[in-house]
Amino acid sequence: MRLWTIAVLPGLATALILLIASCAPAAAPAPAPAAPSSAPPAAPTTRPPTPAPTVAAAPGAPTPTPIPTPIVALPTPTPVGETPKMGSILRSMLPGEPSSNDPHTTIQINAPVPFIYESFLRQNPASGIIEPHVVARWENISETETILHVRQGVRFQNRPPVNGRTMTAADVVYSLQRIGTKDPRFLRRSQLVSVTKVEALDDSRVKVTFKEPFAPFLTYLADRFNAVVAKEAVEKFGNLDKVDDSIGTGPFLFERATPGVGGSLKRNPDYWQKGRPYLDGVTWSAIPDAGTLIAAYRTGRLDMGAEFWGGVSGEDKSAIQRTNPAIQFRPVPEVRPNVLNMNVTRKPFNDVRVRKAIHLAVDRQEIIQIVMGGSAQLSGPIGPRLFPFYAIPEAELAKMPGFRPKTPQDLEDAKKLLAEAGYPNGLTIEAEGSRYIPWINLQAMELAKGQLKKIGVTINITLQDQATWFATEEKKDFNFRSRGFTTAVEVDAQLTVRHSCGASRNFGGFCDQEMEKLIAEQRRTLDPEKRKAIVLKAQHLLVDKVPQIFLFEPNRYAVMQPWVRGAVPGVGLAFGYVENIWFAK
Amino acid sequence: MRQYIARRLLLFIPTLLIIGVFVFAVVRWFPGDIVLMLTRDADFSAQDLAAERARLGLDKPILEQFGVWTWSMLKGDLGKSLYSKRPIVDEMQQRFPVTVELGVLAILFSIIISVPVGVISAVRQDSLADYITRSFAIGALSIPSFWFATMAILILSLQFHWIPPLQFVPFFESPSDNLQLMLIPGLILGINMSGTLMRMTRTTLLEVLRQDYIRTARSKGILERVVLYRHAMKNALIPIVAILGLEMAHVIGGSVVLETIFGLPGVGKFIFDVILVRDYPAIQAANLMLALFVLCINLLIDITQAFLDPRIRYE
Repeated sequence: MRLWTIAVLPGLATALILLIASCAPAAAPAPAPAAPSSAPPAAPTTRPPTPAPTVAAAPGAPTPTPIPTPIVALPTPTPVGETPKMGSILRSMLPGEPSSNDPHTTIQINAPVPFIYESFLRQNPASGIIEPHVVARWENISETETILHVRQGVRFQNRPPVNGRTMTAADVVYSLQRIGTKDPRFLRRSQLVSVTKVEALDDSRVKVTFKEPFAPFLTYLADRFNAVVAKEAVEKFGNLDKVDDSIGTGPFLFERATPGVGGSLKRNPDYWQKGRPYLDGVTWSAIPDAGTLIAAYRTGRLDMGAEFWGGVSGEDKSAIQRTNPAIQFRPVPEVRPNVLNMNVTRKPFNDVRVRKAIHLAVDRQEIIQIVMGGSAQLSGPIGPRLFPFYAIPEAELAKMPGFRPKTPQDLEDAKKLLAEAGYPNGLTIEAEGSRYIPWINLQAMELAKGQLKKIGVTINITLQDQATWFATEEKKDFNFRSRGFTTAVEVDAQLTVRHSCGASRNFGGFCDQEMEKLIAEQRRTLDPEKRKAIVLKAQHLLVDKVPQIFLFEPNRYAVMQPWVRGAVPGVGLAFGYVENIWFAK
Repeated sequence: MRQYIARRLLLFIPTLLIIGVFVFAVVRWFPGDIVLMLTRDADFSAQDLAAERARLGLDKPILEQFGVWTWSMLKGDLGKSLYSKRPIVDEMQQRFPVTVELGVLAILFSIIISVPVGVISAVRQDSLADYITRSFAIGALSIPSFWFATMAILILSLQFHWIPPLQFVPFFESPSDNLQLMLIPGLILGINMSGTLMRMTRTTLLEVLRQDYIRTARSKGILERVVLYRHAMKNALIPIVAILGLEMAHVIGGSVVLETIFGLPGVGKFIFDVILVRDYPAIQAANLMLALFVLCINLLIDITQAFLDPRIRYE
């Protein structure tokens, strides 16, 4: 053997790799431009409130709800002449693993719950209207009593111990009671805090009694995690964490989940909506790296992604569009308005003048353009695209001091407020930042640092790992930090958990008695117009008292290959109504 | 030799105990716990958090927690992950083979690359070939593997419209699917490791080539090829074997980034994830298993060296 022959070995190794790579499946077919590129983008629209019907429409008919909800996305267009096809497996992704798949105890929005289980009602991602689902209709028999009519013919998935039996009113009662269990593991129990009694009147009717009128109830019934489970499954398995424990009424059966690898779902052949779902199944892969995710869309290894199941930022959307212009995108606002959070129990933030000065000096437009690449909208205390009916409109916000483009007068006013608060020469604030937590926008804080320098405020940012971040937040051992707040898609949740005295996520310690009254009042006001007036008043109060520096409402893009049809990515239901998705290939 | 192995195995016990105490203490010393990570952004009150900590036994005195954990370890029970609620032994059983496969591939690639290159570099000392190979070694050492990995994904997707499969498949289930995914990270890690190995091969070979017995062999008129392979290489291999063993241990900790980019469900990524969420039982058990693995590898290296070098005696 000569020396040069051994030098060839690395080359041989490379050739081996190329050989193996050549055994790989052929690259995904070049995307056919089936979906018109003129697909209308999601357009936020303020839907006027519909009068509250005392009796909802007949089963199956989408029924308006008295609670106005957001309009966020339009369905994937179906070109003329195309008819839905059965078959195909939808390939998607998950960035991490959910700690639980139990709809009532999981917090991870990336759990495959909406494929397996069904909520009592659901919120149409295209229209924002609360629609019947396994609860076919509802009657408000008084201000504090509602009758839920259970849809007939809905069957659980055919797995032991439930074995495909019919769902009844008793299951709805059991599930509502389980959601409200007074145990910390039941994460949405606070949504049913006003419910005093749930009882089955017969096999098809459930009566819910409230201690006072409860406006958010129907929206909470449409929360994707407020789903119907079978009592015998819970009794047998305890927590419904594992694959075989997951028995819902949904269109897909949980087939496999391998930690760190991915999982799969297969069509439920006994699904109550005949002829659905169109897809044979769904698979997901664990892809923790954003670069790999983009490459997977480019090479056609993934069919669709939305929200945390493969949704992408505005920047990533542009990168994919450059190489794959036929891929479809839908912007969906995140239920996570971004703020700069202040500990108002500590100096200097216990002085409202300091908070107002910062509010005046932070340039939201610059943050939206530079940090979010324009893929976000100005937001007050409530997101204008998530809650177009209730929120202070973007146009109005854009004229308000603090939210409007910065003027020299704003900066002068900010300096004046600081001087009045006893800081004529400015002040130094110790802030905390963290990376890799989805709802912390470190770049926003870094940009704000430069902006606040103009009024003499120096920000020092210390980085923390995520567990330290949560620990210091729990102990209220922090000063100033960027944050997003994820809540249910209900204006009540937005106000309560962030701004009510002592609320779990009111980390800054803000407490205002007038605000408390407004929060309670909007919750028990059933008339949408009257409720809107109260919510607007609450928002203006928050803008005035500045418990947080309200910044923006971020967007995330749902991604769909050109062959995907029938998907309506939206808030709450990342893939829309999954039983309607089909592939034109 | 038997006595030596028995003695070494006995020494495992205090070593593992020290590691166990250290890991147990360190994870609790850092702020935050699993309860905060599980509840994250949920609507939780301080009372709820306290109740959840009590349910998981995290409110007990630290010595009691240590006693409970040590006792379960002695019984061979690694416990359950507080995050996934799965037995930790299952998690490790599933992930260990992935990392070992990655490590074996990386070591194979690093040998294939570094030994020939190191030999050329030593034999042609101070020639153009030497300078090129040394530059390669410095490049392999200094360019991080995540850069290679990111570039690989980018170039493959943009130029060839292909990327490795997104889901890991065990080798014995589908060798083709498995190798499509594993070869590229294996090669990248191998290139990264080959820098050290190449330099070590060059240095030791240069040293051996200057020994008297090599001069004697050459003076007898033995072919240069025979001198190199039969006399020099065999002796130069001894420190390289030691380095290889250490590299195997290094692979487990150093493969986190590659496992993340290629979506490999390996031990490195698992430990990284459980540390982030402060999953105490999983961190403790995984570190202990890892320590045991490294101890075994070290023992294996020592035994292998004794076979390679008759001068080494473990008495």
